[in-house]
Amino acid sequence: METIKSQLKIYHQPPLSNPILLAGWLTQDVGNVGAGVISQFRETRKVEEVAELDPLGFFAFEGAIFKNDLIQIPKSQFKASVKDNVLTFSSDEPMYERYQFLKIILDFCEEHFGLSQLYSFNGNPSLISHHHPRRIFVVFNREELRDEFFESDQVEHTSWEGPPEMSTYLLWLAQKKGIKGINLWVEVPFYLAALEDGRAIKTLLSLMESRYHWGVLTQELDDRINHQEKLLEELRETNSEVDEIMSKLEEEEVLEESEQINLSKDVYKHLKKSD
Amino acid sequence: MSFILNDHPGLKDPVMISSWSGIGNIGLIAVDTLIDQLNAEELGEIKPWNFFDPQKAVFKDGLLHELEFPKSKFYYNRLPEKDTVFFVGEEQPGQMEKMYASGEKAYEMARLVLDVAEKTGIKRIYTSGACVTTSHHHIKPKVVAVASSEQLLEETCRIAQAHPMSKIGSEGGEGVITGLNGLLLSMAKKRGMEAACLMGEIPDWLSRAPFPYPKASLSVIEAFAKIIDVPVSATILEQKIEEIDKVVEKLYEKFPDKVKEQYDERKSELQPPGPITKEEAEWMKAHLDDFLQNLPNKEDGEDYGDDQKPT
Repeated sequence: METIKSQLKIYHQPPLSNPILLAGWLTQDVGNVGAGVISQFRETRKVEEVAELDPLGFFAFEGAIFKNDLIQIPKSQFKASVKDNVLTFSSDEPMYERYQFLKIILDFCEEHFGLSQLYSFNGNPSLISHHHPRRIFVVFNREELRDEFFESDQVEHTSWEGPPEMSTYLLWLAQKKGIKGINLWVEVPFYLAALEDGRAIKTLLSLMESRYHWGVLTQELDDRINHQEKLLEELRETNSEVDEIMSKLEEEEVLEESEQINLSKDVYKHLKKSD
Repeated sequence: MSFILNDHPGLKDPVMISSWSGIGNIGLIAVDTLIDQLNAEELGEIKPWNFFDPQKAVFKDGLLHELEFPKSKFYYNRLPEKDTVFFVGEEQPGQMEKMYASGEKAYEMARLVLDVAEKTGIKRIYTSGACVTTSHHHIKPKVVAVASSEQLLEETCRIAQAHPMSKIGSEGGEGVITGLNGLLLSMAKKRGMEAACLMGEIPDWLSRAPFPYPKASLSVIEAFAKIIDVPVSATILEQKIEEIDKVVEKLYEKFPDKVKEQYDERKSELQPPGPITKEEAEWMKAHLDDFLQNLPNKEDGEDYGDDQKPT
């Protein structure tokens, strides 16, 4: 408890009882999926600020980082929807003392609210076109969670080994503490990895919606998806190379590395220009 | 931060032999090989998560099966002459992260190793590592020793046929053993334990190579084997040494004639090798470092023959 007190600024303690936690990471966030799911939930549900983690000791403070001309500082915030009995957490990925960072998150949720289960949302770059339905890879930390999201055309229980991301580290720590956890990894067309993939965000939200019925799927999200797809069509019409590569993708042909790089660059430039 | 001990073996007057990863992984390979050869039993481990980030996750059909961290493990062996506890640290904490490569975590790790040492009744600790010298890779690496007391230094050098640092260098036996292989010695001495370090010699230019140097590990193994009085198999590390020798020889063949000629002078008995001086380090930078930039790698079909991490 001492660590929690010294590293967390608690603004408010809402009356939550064994809530679930929705977590998303803001850095290395493929398709902006983690941030997108959490912000869509926060915008559509009545959420209130709960607490903030002090970044000191977890991030480097060696100068100012700026993005789109704006100075960025690391943020790690808890917000809650009392009506839905849901806690949300969004954060930049800590650079140092990751174990301590994750432990504070889970200790806080467990000791203050009796956390029942956590979900985290992530994007996974894939060699698919933006018209392709997004598959979701589900991993979990307890056998009993296997049936929560049944395998289907869209949902896959994956076997995999490799370097762990923050969400996996969090899932492991939850397992160690006896907290149920599920990570959802959605496919993101590789050329949208550095941008927002609204369709991937919607795919994840739809899956959560089928279980919790929050009402987080909005016309505004659909408009964003349609707008992006319109811009991509526009790019295809004006750039024959992009059109050719995208056609190959739609035909499920293998792309050369140079084609992948060129497509990513052209799409990024076009969508950023139209922001 | 703590450790887990699976067993309380009740050892009789044991010594500890320990090593972490380092230059050429000389000590780590030596201790690992001894553990293997002697079929040492696992004693316990230091919980890794406060020191290291995980390296690998394993999912099976959706279920999180395992998250792997670098290991910091203890082993033990009841030997006829001397019960022995071994410790191997696959990584040194804080090595990779600039800002937090402070001494705090290294100090904490050393403290835990010494806590386990005290718990198992150890009064003498050996660490092992590398000694970078102006030696030649065709010459069998010497073992160099430093110790917490003159008496232990004399005993270690006599039994292990090692050389006191002062006898091989031009620095009068002064220097620093960096990282945990050094820190553990200081902290052990502070706790009133006897401590010594056995270092395998590595030629200066190879100390920056991204592959291990098992030839020096073999020298260290032979030295430790004498201390704990166990036989060493004649073929120990043979294959690894052959594989690395091939890589080293390929690099050596690429030296320009003039550089090779000057380097080969090191083979002369009249030029006793010692820890490198500033001038020698500069010579190495000017003449030999470039070769390491063009090292073959595994993708090019070259196999270094060792799955140890380069350090």
